[in-house]
Amino acid sequence: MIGAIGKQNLAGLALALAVLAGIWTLGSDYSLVLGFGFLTMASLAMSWNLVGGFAGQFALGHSLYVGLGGYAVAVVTVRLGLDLWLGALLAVVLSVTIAAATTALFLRMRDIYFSIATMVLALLATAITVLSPWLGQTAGIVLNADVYFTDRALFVMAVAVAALSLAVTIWVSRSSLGLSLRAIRDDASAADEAGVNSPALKCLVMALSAGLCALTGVILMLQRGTIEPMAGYSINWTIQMIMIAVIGGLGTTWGPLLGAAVYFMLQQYFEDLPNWNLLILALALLVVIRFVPEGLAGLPARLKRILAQRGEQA
Amino acid sequence: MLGQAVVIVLEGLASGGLYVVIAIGFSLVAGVMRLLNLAHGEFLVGAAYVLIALAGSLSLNPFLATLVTVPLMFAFGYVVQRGLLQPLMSHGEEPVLVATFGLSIGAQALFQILWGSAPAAVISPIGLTGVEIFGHTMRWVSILAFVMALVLAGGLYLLLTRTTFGLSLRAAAQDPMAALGIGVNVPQVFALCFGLGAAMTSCGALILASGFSVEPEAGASWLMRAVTVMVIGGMGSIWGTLGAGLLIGVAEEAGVATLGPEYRDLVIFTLLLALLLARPNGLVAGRAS
Repeated sequence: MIGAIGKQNLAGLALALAVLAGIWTLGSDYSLVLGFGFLTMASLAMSWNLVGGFAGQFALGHSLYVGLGGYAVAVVTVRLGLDLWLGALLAVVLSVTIAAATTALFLRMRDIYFSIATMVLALLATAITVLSPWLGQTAGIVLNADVYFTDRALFVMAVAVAALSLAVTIWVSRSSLGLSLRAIRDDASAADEAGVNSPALKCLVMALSAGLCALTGVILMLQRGTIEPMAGYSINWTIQMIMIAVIGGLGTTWGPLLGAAVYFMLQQYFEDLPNWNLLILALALLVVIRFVPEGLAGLPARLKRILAQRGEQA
Repeated sequence: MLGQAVVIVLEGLASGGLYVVIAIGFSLVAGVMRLLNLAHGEFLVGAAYVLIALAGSLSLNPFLATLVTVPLMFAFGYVVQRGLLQPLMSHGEEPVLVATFGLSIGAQALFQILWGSAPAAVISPIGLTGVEIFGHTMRWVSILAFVMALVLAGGLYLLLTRTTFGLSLRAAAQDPMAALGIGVNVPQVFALCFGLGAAMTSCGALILASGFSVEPEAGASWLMRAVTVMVIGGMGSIWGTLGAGLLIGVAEEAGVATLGPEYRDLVIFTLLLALLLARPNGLVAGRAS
């Protein structure tokens, strides 16, 4: 069991559990809300990291799946009068299907066109929603009053989704799937020659990532109670995910969580100056990609190397 | 009926001209350097903000202000390529995309901080007055957009075919390693090319600022226009960009006239997605030819 997870991952898990348990027992309602914010951000970054980090596919349309999560819940409960959990199920099924199908269609596109095509998907979702009265057009949909959860319940759901995202990340990073994805990222044609079925794996990892994003979209919707197209499908979701994943460390297991912690602390510190916050994060992203491409998660290893070199010289 | 068709064609050629001006530098950079600049829209919007600031605070004529912004954007593009993007190019395409993405986000935040979120524009006679063509009044700024598209396309063609720089650029585009071998300073040529792309784009800022308005987040929609033009016209193809830009301009006006303005986004994005699916590499047409 420990072998399957890895020693470092186990230490990280223990730490994360301790923090979450602390918030759960000692925390005020406000800290539960903060915890919810942090965990959903981390979950989104972890799901994007599967595609953008491990598989090296610079997808720019993940806000689509966050929005789909919200809209699925809204349509199923408000428009169809059905159970909330059917909404969550629909969100995941719809997102997984769309993600796998469009990735299959986009397979022949070069990196940059793939990025643009994924971005266009999110823009199309907005354009369609705005025109459809059934989806509430620009005004959006408000959840029924009986769909209500306490901060504590929302926090538990956020913990569950984050734990699932982390479990999938650890599984991908330590399984042969992770190896194959890295091979695709580094050289797709060489990977194909080595017997990796890169089309199928690209679709699979996109589907996993989209499903997790949609789940986060569902609980974000439960917290907000309302959704409209501009905010629901906003590119800001995608921006957040990518910034967090890159600053934390692309294609690393713990990078997105580290990145989310930094992002979240900056966001709290600059609460009244969101644009300064964004500017600082953008600069941090540029510094990371230029000088520390492995991100914050790679810093300890880098320091160790530098110290070892110093030692040799002395 | 005929009158409406004339209006569609005239206004379409005008907005198409603006699309050409915005896409030509983007497509050149993509064709020569295999680099998609996700901050391209912010280059345009940033140049427009600087232009508005110069025209406003120094009460400079917008045309004179353009003489300042164009070299400024050229220098900015040069520095970005040399200092940030060139070192990343050897690591594959994703780090370069991430970096231009970071530039785009940072620029948007900076615009918000410096100029706030309200739309900004410059008040200029070319945006307010016009001339009557076939019974339809065209604003001078629309005519300027069309003329500027022709001038930029022609000028770029001459630069690429008649100068030593153009020769080095085409050599570097075809095979960077071979170009290095015959003594072309490829990083220098790439930086000049990126600067040139930014400078050509910033010409569009004059039209954008005096004929329309800019907002901090407007960059993404202009980026999408540039991508659409490039996918139809072919990466790095000058005449392809000119034809595609004008065609899209007219098609968009026609679409809006028949379906209604609320369908504008749906029409454009469906078209773009269909094109990407039909031409997944978008570069059948030659590079920088």
